[in-house]
Amino acid sequence: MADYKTIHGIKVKSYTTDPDNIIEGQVWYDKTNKVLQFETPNVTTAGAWRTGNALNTARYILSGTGIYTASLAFAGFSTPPDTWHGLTENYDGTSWTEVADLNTVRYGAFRSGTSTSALCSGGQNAPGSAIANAESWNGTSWSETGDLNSARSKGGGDGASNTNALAFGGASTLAVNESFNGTSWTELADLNTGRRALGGSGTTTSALAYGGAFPIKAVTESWNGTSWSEVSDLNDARVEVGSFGSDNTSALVTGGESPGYVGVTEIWNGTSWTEVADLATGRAAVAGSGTASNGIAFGGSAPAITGATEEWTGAGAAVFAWSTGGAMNTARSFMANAGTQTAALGAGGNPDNQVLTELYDGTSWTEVGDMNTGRRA
Amino acid sequence: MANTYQYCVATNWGKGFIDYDESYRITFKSFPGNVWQVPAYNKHANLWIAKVAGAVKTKDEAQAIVTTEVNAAKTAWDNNNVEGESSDEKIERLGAKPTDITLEA
Repeated sequence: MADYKTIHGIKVKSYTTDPDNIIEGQVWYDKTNKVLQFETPNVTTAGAWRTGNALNTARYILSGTGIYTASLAFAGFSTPPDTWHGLTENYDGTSWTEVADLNTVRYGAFRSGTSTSALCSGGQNAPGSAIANAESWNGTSWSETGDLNSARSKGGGDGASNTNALAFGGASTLAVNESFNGTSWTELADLNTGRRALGGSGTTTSALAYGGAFPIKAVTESWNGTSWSEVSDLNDARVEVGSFGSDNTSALVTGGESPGYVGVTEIWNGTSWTEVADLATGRAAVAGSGTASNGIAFGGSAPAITGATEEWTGAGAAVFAWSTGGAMNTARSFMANAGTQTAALGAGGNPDNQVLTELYDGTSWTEVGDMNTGRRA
Repeated sequence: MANTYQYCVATNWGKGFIDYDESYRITFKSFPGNVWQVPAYNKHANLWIAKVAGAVKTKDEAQAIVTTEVNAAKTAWDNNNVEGESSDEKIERLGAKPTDITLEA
């Protein structure tokens, strides 16, 4: 059998510590740990999850809608004691803030819309008690609007706003599909496969339904505004997933039970599902919002109930790259600087040997106390 | 044979606990009890453990923490009953009963 030198013309070098000036793809033998080491290439188009700040109230079977920098989390469940929540929280890309509660507590609600125009419909507010109640969010508060025709919980759904929503499936294994026009719900063509706790995303005219139970399914169906048609299955069948996406050509599913809590993430490109990077915290009954390019997953059960948030940046996004940040209040050069990406200080500088000092918090610069003596670096 | 994974206990503080760069370079997996699994013999994993001040655990120590947490969750699930509720309705209300988790070497 050919050895490494025969193939590559060089031997694998041995080191007791990491070699200097490592290059991408370099292989060396780590004599200290007695293993081969490999320098991962810098790829700028990979999708990845990172941790975000947690919900204020950990819960699962909650709902989420919006984009990754402006999301809404509402409803949900925690135990013990069994508590159905009406809590609503708003994510600004950095942290969650509690805003006005739903009028009717519930879990397993259908979602639709954005952080300023959302719809919460159906769900369950007591053991075995599915409800048809729907509430509309105007960016400030929830108000009751037209009820679902079919009371149900744990279905799939999505839509553009509080006047545009699709709600399909639900417990126990319903196939019912309804559309909301801002006033009332209209029954449309059923799913081919009835199920609950499925993933769903899109709009009233272009949506996707995937996974669910029982038994646990991988089935995916595409909605064209008129009817559902079966398309390629998920690679990993699961239930209680987190889901988000734009339409029937772009979606992301993550987490769930298959059985056991998983962090598996798959992306839909209009034809098939592809597995990408897993959530760090595998969990079921997790909520999600955003697009296949940028989104967030939050809450869930692992089995401990969690408020953990993870942020997704998809293929094409730069992972090891510069991104723009907030500009300083006073433009200058030759200033003194110190700190980290989220806690930096800039002081002094040209022109005119400034005394100004500014503090960066990871988002924006704020003027703080001046130096006693103006100067430049 | 050398281990594939190493374990530590660390509390997820949210933003910055795992960055995109770290997430891309290494595979993270969390378990009950704030137990985190990362690749063994990996400098990026070692740097991350240092960054989050993770308490390094052997696989057996980590397994004991996870098993204690899972058993507590199972007991809580067993004890959470509603009169007249079927087993399917219970699963619908609470999710499936937590299952054992076995950590990999």
